[in-house]
Amino acid sequence: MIYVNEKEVPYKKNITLAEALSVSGEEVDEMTLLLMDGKVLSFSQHAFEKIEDGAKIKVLRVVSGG
Amino acid sequence: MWSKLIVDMNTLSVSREPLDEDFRELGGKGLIAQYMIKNVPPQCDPLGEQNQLIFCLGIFAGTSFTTAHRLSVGGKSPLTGGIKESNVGGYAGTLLAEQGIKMIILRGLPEKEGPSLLHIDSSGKAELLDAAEYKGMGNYDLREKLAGRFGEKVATITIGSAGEMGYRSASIHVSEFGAGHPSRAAARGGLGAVMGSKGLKAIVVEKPTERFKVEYADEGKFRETCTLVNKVIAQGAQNDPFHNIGTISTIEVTGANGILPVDNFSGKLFPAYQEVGANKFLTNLATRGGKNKLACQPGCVVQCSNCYNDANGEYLTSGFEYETIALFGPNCHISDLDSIARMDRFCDDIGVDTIEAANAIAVAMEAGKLPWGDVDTTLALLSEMKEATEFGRILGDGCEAVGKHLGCKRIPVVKHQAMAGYEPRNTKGTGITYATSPMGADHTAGLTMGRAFDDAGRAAQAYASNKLQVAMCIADSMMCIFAFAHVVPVMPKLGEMMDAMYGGNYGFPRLAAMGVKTLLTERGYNKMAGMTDADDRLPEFFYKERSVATGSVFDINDYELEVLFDF
Repeated sequence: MIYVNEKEVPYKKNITLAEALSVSGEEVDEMTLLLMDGKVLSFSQHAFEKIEDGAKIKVLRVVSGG
Repeated sequence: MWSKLIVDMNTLSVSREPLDEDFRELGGKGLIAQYMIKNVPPQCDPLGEQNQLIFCLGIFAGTSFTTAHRLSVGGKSPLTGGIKESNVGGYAGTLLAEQGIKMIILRGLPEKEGPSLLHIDSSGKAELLDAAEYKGMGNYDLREKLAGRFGEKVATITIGSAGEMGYRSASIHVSEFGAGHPSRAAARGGLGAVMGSKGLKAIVVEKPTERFKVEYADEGKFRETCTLVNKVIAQGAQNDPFHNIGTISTIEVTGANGILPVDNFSGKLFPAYQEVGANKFLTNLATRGGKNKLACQPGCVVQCSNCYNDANGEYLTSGFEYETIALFGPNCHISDLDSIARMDRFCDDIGVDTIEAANAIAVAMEAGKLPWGDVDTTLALLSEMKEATEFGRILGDGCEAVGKHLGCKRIPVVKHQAMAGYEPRNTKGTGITYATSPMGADHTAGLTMGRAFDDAGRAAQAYASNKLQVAMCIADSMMCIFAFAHVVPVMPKLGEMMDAMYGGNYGFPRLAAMGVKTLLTERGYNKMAGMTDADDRLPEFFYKERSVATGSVFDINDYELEVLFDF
């Protein structure tokens, strides 16, 4: 099982981060960062990123500038 | 009833008076605008006797509203020549609220040599003490001395030697909640130099033995609504990169899309941006005993602050933020996070705005004063500010001063104030904010980065800037803008809180009107100070040079800028 913002997404072999997000219904765009098991991925990296069974993903949205 | 402290530096006296009825419903940025227009002559010398320095709390100070104890600092800016409100987190706002002090107003100029400090003790007694022993001291040593003398739990508001020397980029530093590091800065516009001109080195605030209680028109309603809004903000923060990582996370968005400034706003991309990005930061925190998710003031649910250690695990800096990293990093072609942290620490200690200093260094690099990416020379030049060499003094006066001194034609300033870490050709709404904000090139006045990726045309970018500039006037009058970003789903509730606290049944329009009034008052002040439409423009090179990353120029025309505030 994969966890996207604590929602369960069934794991399958070679599933990409983009597919997992699509199944979870989470929307991502250029203002989105993805935190996967402590590692930060930007929007431009998420399409091809392979994920492991049990991965915990947080979808973070930049809402203001630092 | 709230009080104000009047600190007369001519007579070195302090008086405590009830807060004016006119200011009862105001706070933060809104309060500073209305105070300034009534009490500080717009054409006064910013470092002269007629200027005043105001510290004040927000509309909801004294309540349990998250981030309500942000501290606004205001006065006429020695950098921009206009009105300035620069706000800061840290612990001082909380203790001032517990003391029942909503405003501190510094007036006049001292006749005697040597700085003073303002001490507010646990009984509420406020007095000026001689501070000659602290003259020339950096913020870190000063905080340590003051904590040793008055106790570790005091909050401090201090200036470093840059403020004493009148540098136009001098900042004012507030100690963080908890560790007490003086790393939270009211950085922009040189207000540290105004504090220095008044001869005030520090304000020390003790926790009062008896806590001030605010008055509510309807306390039950306020508590009910405030609890709901706090909960919404806390929920939003859970998926906010600022909470989960820190403001450095912004690099991951700006670096990939041409918004991150590179090599003095050249418009290029910086392929190594992730060397100064979120993963490097998180790895360094994890392996060196650093921390993120820290609150700079009690009750904050966003908790975006951090403590950054060096490779030996020793404290290096805290409140290590995106702007500093973007501008000392890629904008100076530097890709070593530890080196940038050393620059941040140095600037915090001497007390200068990192945005101004980093832009000044980038301009110096473009002019050939030092090579791109040269860390050692950057640190050496920053040290010259402390040593007060001829170039150090110019550097202390900011980016424009350095650019003019070195004959650089590409100087990224508006109203003499350096730009923050967003390329205005690739987030044009932010460029409109830079151009038209009464504060000068200030990202916190209305950052429209989220509109950079949609197909919105120029009119939509202008609309976003207009609305956000009003919204930020509201936010800066009551709370931290990072928490404000999460209020959006329940925005009308802020109006209900206002009504429950101050009476009436006006709802959110009351706050919207306050936001518009603040913005127009600030613009009116600047006009009386001598600013014209010509001051509401970006530097010419943003209109003429194409961004290499995107091919864009800043193509918002003069008319579009001039009608922006025709409400």
